Amino acid sequence: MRWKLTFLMALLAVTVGTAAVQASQCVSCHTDAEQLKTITKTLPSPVASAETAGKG
Amino acid sequence: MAPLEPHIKVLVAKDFLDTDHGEIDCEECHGGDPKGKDMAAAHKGMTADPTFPDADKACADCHEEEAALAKTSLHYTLATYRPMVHKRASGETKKLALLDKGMDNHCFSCHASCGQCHVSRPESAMGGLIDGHKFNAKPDQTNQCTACHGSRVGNEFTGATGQGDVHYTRHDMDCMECHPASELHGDGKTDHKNRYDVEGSPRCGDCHEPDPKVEQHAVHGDKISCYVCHSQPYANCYACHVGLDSKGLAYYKNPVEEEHLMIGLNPNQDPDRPEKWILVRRVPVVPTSFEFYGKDLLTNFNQANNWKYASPHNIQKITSQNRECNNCHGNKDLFLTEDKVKPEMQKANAPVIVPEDQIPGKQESQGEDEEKAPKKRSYF
Repeated sequence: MRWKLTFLMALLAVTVGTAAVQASQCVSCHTDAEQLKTITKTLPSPVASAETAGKG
Repeated sequence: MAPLEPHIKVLVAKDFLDTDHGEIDCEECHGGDPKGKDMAAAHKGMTADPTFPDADKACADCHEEEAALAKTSLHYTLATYRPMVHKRASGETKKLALLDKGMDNHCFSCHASCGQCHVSRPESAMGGLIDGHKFNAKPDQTNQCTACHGSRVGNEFTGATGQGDVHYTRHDMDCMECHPASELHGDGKTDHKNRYDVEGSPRCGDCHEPDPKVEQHAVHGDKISCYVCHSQPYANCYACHVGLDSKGLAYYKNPVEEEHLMIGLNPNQDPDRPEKWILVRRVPVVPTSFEFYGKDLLTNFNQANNWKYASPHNIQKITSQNRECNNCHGNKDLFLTEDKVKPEMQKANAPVIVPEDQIPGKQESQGEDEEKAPKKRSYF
């Protein structure tokens, strides 16, 4: 019984830990300005048509 | 407006994580796969703006009422666009389909969602987080409101063109002071006739009680819209054309823009806007606006006027019109008479065109009468 309880608690800890790691994968990149700067330099820039003319 | 730096567009502030929204897992709103091995896998299936096209999906759990109302907000739905353009359209099904394709490519790329007013710049202004993903209850005038409403409203309001609007330049009021959430969040109606037909849209009288001791107010009463006397010249655009360039990118060509102020007749006098005299603005649509998508798509162009009710955002207490009676009275230049409208547009604009015999006549001998009668308090 004690082993079962220990196993369940360990499983819960791993699950919570994994979720935290998953969340931080998004957060760790998107809160790091330098890293984002490096990455965005490699991405294509959004383009708008050069034919647009005049004000609207 | 210059776009945000690419990395700033997606930079999340660390203190955002301490907010209520920051406690929600990213993927819960944005989708994607946090277990993804690389950037492409992690971003697969994610959406940058989870609040559009279904506000319920991301917002309704906590903001049930706002999410429901968003579906009736003209910012969100642009619901008045299609019926208005269809009014001018050819009745042929094939042509209507071509027109709708054009509208989808151009007109409907300009909506605003919950996120684009509270979190990021609007997509039509190239998007991007404006405050590290923090949710601001009050939209930011520069980054959000005038990012879209810039070339006319923004420039006129802040004084980039003309003298600016006294509400902003002198009283430091921003857009939200007159356009509160109750107006912008949607009013629950789904049959708006036009953008002025929104419950809670602002009226000058909401704050300004007309003073009957002010001569001009007493004389003109509610026959003349406040804008007629208190606006400065404003931008009018002509002949907008849309299409796709050789790379498939949407373009907008609006070759002519003129600044003027034109008084017309109110075609829709009702208890909310009973004035006979209003300001009218030339809106850019012409019969060939969508001709990139097909010939003769707007064959019923004359079914709606293209000089429209105008509410310029450049109010001043003293303007060239209200300095002297005869700056308007007898001044044909300020009135939308038939000769100022192209012959092919005259039928469409008949309800707003001022017949010359209706232009108020010049006021004679102002000086002599004023000497005898006790002078009324001047508005100036």
